[in-house]
Formats: sequence, structure tokens, C-alpha cells
Amino acid sequence: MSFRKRGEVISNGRGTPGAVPGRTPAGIMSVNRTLPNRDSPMTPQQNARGITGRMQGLRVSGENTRAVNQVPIPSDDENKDDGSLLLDHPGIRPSHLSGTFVTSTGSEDIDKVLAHTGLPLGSSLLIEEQGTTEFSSILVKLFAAQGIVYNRLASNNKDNSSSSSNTHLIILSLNQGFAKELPGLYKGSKRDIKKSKISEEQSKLSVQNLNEKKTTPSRYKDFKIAWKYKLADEEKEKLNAKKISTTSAMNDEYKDYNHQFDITARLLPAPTSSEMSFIAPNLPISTILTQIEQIIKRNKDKLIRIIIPSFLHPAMYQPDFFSLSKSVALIHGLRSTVKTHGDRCVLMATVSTDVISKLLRVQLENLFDAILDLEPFPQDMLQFLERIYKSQPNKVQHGLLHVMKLPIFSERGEMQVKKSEWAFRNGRKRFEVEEWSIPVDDVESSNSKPTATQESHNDHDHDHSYEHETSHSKSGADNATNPKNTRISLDY
Amino acid sequence: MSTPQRQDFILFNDQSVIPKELNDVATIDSEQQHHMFLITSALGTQPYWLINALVETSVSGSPLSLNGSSINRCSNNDNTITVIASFIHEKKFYNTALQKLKVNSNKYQILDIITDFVMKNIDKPRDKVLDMLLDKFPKDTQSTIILEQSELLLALLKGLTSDELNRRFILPLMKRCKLLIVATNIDFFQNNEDEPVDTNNRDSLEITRFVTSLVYASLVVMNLRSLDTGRAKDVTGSLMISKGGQSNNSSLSVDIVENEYLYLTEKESTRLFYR
Repeated sequence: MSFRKRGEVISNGRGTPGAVPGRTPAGIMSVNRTLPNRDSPMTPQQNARGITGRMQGLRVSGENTRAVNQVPIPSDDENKDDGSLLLDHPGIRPSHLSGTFVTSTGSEDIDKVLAHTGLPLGSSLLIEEQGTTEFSSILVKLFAAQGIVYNRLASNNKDNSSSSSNTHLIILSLNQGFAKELPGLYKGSKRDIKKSKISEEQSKLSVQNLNEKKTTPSRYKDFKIAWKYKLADEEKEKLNAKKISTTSAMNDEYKDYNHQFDITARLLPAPTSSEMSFIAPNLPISTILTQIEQIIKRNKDKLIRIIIPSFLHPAMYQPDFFSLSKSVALIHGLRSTVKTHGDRCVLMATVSTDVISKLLRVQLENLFDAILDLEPFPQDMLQFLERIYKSQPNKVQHGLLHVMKLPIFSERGEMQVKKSEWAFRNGRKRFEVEEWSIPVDDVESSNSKPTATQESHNDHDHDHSYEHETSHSKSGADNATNPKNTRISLDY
Repeated sequence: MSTPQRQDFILFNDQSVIPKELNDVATIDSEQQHHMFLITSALGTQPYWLINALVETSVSGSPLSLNGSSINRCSNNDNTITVIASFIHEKKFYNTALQKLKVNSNKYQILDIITDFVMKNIDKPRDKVLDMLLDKFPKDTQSTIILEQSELLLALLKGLTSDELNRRFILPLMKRCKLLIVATNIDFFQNNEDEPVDTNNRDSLEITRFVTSLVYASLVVMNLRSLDTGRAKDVTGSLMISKGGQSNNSSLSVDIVENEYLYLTEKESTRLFYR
């Protein structure tokens, strides 16, 4: 007969507080992260093993104990397999919408646009880009850098974890220098670095710091406060602490999920062959697929991030890749691989839509689970935005981001084509995506400030006599309306 | 704003999706007729829910997920089986969906034809691959087969033509079952203002020919397309039901009800309604 209360949390039998909800330390099999309504990305065997691991920690009393004890309990090593180890992966978290496990793309804003706070495991993402810009290359590097950072987190926690790496990247590219071009972690502005140094100093044990920590409200010192008020103060503090702990618990649990990168810095040391494998795209398709399969099998227990930077770039891909039979076969084969290893594999590819035909584009789009289309602004639009946001140059967007397909939702038949709803801006420390709204140029203000108008005349060499009437419209969109005081110059 | 009235999904004028007569034809006639339904869809209007509804109908006689507890429910022959084969979705995808809809798992079979298809067949002769594919389907003339995105074969098998695909795969498959439902992606034919279809290109010609041949060979065409005005919160798209090329040659006494529904798919459920 057990005297344990029904609601009491059962320890994991190791005498450690392993039953804390949320993430358990690396190396200890987590079973608390089971989620409601999850389209279980793990196989039934993995689930069953997870339960076995949990049962191992249970203290069962009574007559049934004998029967339970007779069952041979598998050791921790036997329990370890692909799925269970990935539960402790810092780069995997459940989607708040569908409950499936997702991993970060390396850009927090793109994760948000994908609606699942990341890319679901077993999914593929295609980033299309129009024009001659290279914004998609930033995204693909962020995706790769994020994978390397996950891997290095595991290496840093080597003492706690049994394996020293948790992520492997497969790059389908001829450019071996890709590894050296990955952005480094953003360490904050100069002010932030100073602040962090100060807080570091303060956190050190010293007499002065200890005295400062023990500060009490000044009114306690001034006069003898009624004991009831003091109690009320304490309760308030407790409530606040609770609130903070619940909100920060979620963030703390996945604190290593997203990282901020500085595209002007480099990830040092550069990724090695143990973290990243390169496969040349000019090999036969069957060889490419076999090699990928072998790498995935060799790196079991790891998150696999397959990356195809600049797919169908004429410098890397032979002309026969521009026919359906080769490129569709390759992507179909990769899709099959990603789905087969759906519990630990994701794919990201970028392609310039200007170099491929519509037929090929449609066929490729059909094979991906998520599609984002980057449409950089033309030069005149950028000039216009620079003029509008003259005092806030950080607000100038660089283009539109069209959502063509969202993982899971589009497959279900939901209409997720969102054109011109988002705009993107690439900065040194962040690839930002925000809701697109047509910028409004206040005519009155420009009229009342002739000097400002004069300045803009000097800045731009187009004729301003027609400026108030002209409107740039695209693809037959309606002309901009001219309300009394405001003028919408561009219509996207 | 009041919510529009939910409409039942029907294809024939006997208020059915798959008429009972279509099941009986095989037993009455010595020369069995084989029918084809065609589903055409695009990027924003995937046919997942419609395929599920048709599987439900084939298994239990009525699309319960769409129509609710329909009165016009006819139980199907216990011996018939519904086979689902997709060139784009893995086995688990439909398995999970049909389990959620509580469709009797003994009455449907999902073929895995996507896993390692390229790895296994890339260098093999086309005829051999098509024969191998055909052999995967059960030889049950009373069965219903649902085939998703068979047009991908035109890209996956080098040199395959539309005629060859029809002759070696689609028509033999049709003869193996009483009803073949083909779902195909027609994104290529939509929004061609910016870039018209290149008819000189062999690939685009073959795909166009294949889709056109499916329209001619089918009894009913169900076209899923998004609204011309773009995305809306309360409407996912429209489902247009029209007669296929074989509607006049059919021996069925029931007629196809040409119709257009609007539909809304959200949270894994779909609702049909009129404009």
C-alpha cells in the first residue's frame, strides 16, 4: 500500500528533481513533453519506449509489484533512439497551433510567418526570389547557422549529455565556402555589451553587491509599518513572481530555440565536416539521394537539416536540370527522404524564379510543403520609401513577402495564399518581416515645408512637378486614391 | 452577419455522391462499365478534404464529414475495397486523416508509392515501372481507386508521353476497378496573364494533353479553385461540379447535377454552402 498522494509528482527514481515540467536536462530522457492533439511525429515504438522509461521511475506498491518487477526493465542505453533524444533537442519545440514538433528557420520573423513558430519536422520549405537580389541567400545562411548553433550548444553541454552533437547539416552545393560564410551570433550593441559586463560584475559575490540585494522598501525604514500592510506587500510580490515565472517559463523552456545572428560577423570556428556534409549537385540523382540517405543513417539521433542554396543556379546545375525529368525527380526523391525521416528531418531550398520556366516553377512548388516568395522592391519604390522614412531610415522595407503555402494548413486544403500581406527588411542583426501597409505621404506637411521639398528635389533627379499626380501601379492594380490631405503614391 | 446555410455535397440527381446504380452496373451488365471522376485543384485549394469525403462515400455510402448524418445513405457491398495511391503524400498522411474520420480501416487500403520511387525506378525502363505500379493495385473489379497526382509520372519517368501514360497505366487501372477517381493539379493552367503557356515546350504539351484526356475520359469533373478576389476569411474557395466528356456515353440513368458550391475549410473540417 502506497501512502503517496494521488496528485503528488513522482520523482524519476534517481533522487533528482527530474519531474519538473518542461525540459529536462540533456541526457535524461524526457517524457513530460507529450502534447495533446499531436500528430505524433514519433513512431509507436518510440512512444512505447518513452512510456517504458517513465514507468521505470514509478514506484509501484502492492501485490502487482511482483509482476511489474519481473518484467525486465530496459536500461537507459536501450531506451535511446532517434525520437527520444530529439525531445531534449534545444531546436525542437511543439507548434502552438498544431502540436507537431517544429524547428527554427534561424529567423524569428520567418518562424512567425510560417505560423507554427518554425518549420514542422518532416516538412520542406522553398524560398523563391524574384529579380537579381540575394535576400534568400541570407535566409538560407541563417537556417544553416542556426543548425550549427544547436550543434554547438550540445557540444558545450557535453558533460551532461551522452552525445556531443545533436544536429547535422547536409548542403547540396558546389560552394564549399558556404561554411565560412555563415553569420555569427549577434552579441548586442556596444551599450548592451557594457550592460552585460556590469550585470556580470554585479552578479559576482561581493560585500557591496550583497548589501544592495537586501534592499527593502524605504517606508519600512522610515517608520514602523502595520504588520497587515507588510503582509499585503509580500503577497503582491508573490503574485508578481508567479506571473513572471509562468510567462518566462515558456520562454525559458525554449530559450535556445531562436538565436539572433549578425550578418556582418562570421560563425567562428567555421563548421567542420562533422557538422556539415557537402554533396555536389552535379552527381547523378540516385547517387545524391543515396548519399543523403547514408548521411542521415550515419547521423542517427540527430536533427538533419538539408539545405539546397540557390537551387538551379546556372553556375552549379547542368542545363538538363532545367527539364522537368531531372529537377522534379530530385525534389521528389528528397521529399520522400524527408517524409521517411519525418521525425528528425527538414529541407530548405531557395530558387530564383527568373531562371526557371513557369511549368518547372509550378511543378517544384507542388512538391514543397511551404513556399515563401520574396519580391524585392524596384528602385523607384525604394527611393520613394527612403523619402517617406527620411527621418527613420530603419523603417525602409526592402520588398514584399508573399506566402504561397503554409506547412500542414495548405495540405489540409486551407487557402493560405497571402500575397502582399507582408513586407521584409534585411538588417545587420535581423531579417524582419512585418505587415505591409501602403506608406502615406502627407502632402500638407510637404507643402508647409518648402525647404524639405527642396531637399528632396536635390536628392532625386526626377520631375517633381508631376509627383503629386503620378502613381506607380503594378500588374493592373487600381490607381492610388487621392484623399483630401493624404496621397497614396504606390499601390502594391 | 448570419452564417450561410450548410449544403449537402451531391453529384447526381438521386441526391448521391456515388449512385447506387453505379455499384450495381457491374452485376447487371456482362460487359462492365468503368467510370472515372476527376478532381482538379490548385496551390491554394488542395483536395485533401474532398478525397477524404469520397473515400468516406465509397466506404460508408455517404460523405459523413461533409453532409453530417445524411438520410440518403446507401450501404455499399461489404466485399468492395477502396484503394488510395498518392504520388505526393505519404501513407501516413491519409492514414491519420481517415482514422480521425473513423472510416472503417478494413474497407480501405493505402498504397505507398511515393517512398523511394525515384531511387528505385530512376534508371528502369518506363514500361517496366508502369507495369510494376499497376501490379501494386488489387485486381478487384468492384473496387474504387483514388489516384493522386499521376501527372507527376510525366516528369518522373524520362520520355514518358501522355498517350503512353494513358495507354499503359490509366486505362488498365480503370479496367481494374469500377470507379477510378483521379486528382490532378492544374495550377499550370491558371493565372497565365504574366507568362502564357509555352506550347512549343514538350513537357508543357504532354501535361496539357494528359489533363485534357482526363477531362474527356471522366464522368464528373470537380474543380477546386480559389476566389478570383483572393483570400477571404469566410470562404476558402469554390467547388464547381461539371459534366465530364463521358457523361453522355454513360449507361447510368441518373444525371449529374452541375453546380457550384463555396466551401470553407478550417480546423480540419469543411462546410459547403451556396453564394
